[in-house]
Amino acid sequence: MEPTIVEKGQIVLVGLSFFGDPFRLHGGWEEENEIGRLWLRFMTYLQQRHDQLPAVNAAPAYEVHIDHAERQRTGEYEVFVGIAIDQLATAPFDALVKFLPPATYAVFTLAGTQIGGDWPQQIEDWMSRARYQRAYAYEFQYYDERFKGIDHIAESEIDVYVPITRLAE
Amino acid sequence: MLNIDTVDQAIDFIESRLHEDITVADIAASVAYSLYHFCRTFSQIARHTPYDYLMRRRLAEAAHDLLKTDQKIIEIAAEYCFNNTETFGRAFKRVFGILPTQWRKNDRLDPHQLMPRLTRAHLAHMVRNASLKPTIEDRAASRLAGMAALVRDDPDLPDRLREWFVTELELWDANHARDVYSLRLYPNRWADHGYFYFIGIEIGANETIPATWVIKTSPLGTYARFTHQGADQELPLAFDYLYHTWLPQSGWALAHPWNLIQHRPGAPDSTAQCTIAIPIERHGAIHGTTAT
Repeated sequence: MEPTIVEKGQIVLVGLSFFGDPFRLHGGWEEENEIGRLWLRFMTYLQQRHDQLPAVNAAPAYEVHIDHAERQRTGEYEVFVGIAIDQLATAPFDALVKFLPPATYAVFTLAGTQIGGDWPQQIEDWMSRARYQRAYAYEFQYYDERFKGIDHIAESEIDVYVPITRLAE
Repeated sequence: MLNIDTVDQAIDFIESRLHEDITVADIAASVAYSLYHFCRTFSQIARHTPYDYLMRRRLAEAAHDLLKTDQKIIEIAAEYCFNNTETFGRAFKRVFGILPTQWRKNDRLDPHQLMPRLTRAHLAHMVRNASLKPTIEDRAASRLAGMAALVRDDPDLPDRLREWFVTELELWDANHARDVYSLRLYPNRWADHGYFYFIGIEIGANETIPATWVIKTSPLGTYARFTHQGADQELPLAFDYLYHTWLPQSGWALAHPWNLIQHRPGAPDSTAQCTIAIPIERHGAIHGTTAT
């Protein structure tokens, strides 16, 4: 799995977030997880704010995973889903805003069954081979028209952006 | 994605390090998974997050040690990697509902409260019964008639009593097609003194029964009813799931220390389907009825 390297300026996102282990169970039987629930919440939110924000599926969406100090110990972290905005003034009061800093990103494209696999481990392997490290404690998945929905993973593609910096020699 | 072997291997790693200050990242690394993929896989199969499993297992062992050793609470807390007695006390209360001091004072070991190590058989059982989803229902009181025994050092006694009862039942009503119910009732200190097993059928108010039988009333109340598809030998796995995985995550508490199994007549054992019912109540409810 080889990435392309791209430069990106600051990205401003508006959306909603969750903190915890997103795969914790609800009632011990439900198949859904907190990331799925967050997406549903966000989609509903976009519909409610259609006068201020782009319509559902009209703009690419971002799923940002942000590490916190606790993650290594407990497996808990923040998941944020949102869309990019140009003007901060367009962010509704009941949404959250994230500023992703200008960064160099390694972009990995995942297709079909790769999406459900252990690609984070493959990314770690690539980084240590290519002598890179994470520039910031987050990464994001980028969903555009190539993503056909959770029921059509086999025909879908997503990009994973990891902010990187060269390891010191 | 459902890799039982990997989760089993991760559980081995956890169980051998309950006294060590390990992180979830250490556990993921032990099976060469990324943290993200590991947490996802573990939760799908074990139905606990890795951190939840680690904490519950540490607390179960610590609860056991509180009753079975003379160690000071502060020593037990440190042994299971809690920084101080306050952190230990808070975590303990979250799982057992009381503080470690009270637990030790009560001196009542109830294995249903102590989460056991999840074995490969537990994992396989959960994967196979992926739809172990209960129905929550209000059940009227029912009158059961049958035979009862105290089960202490003889784990095969319920099977023998069941066979005996079915023979008696055929003598009493040759054409019977009634469901057979088994009840297990767990008095205080049952781990030391044994539990009561009852096997019987539901009877009407005016039916007469053989003199060797006893009558038991299963009280009205709210029950979680699960369908168990599989051999009777796998029922302990189903109960471990109900008591240690489903119940703590359900928002319900056990209302009374007993459970009821309803067996369909004539079903062969290996593929038999039965239903399990446990009496439940909302957390903090006051007990109103008891099995009589």
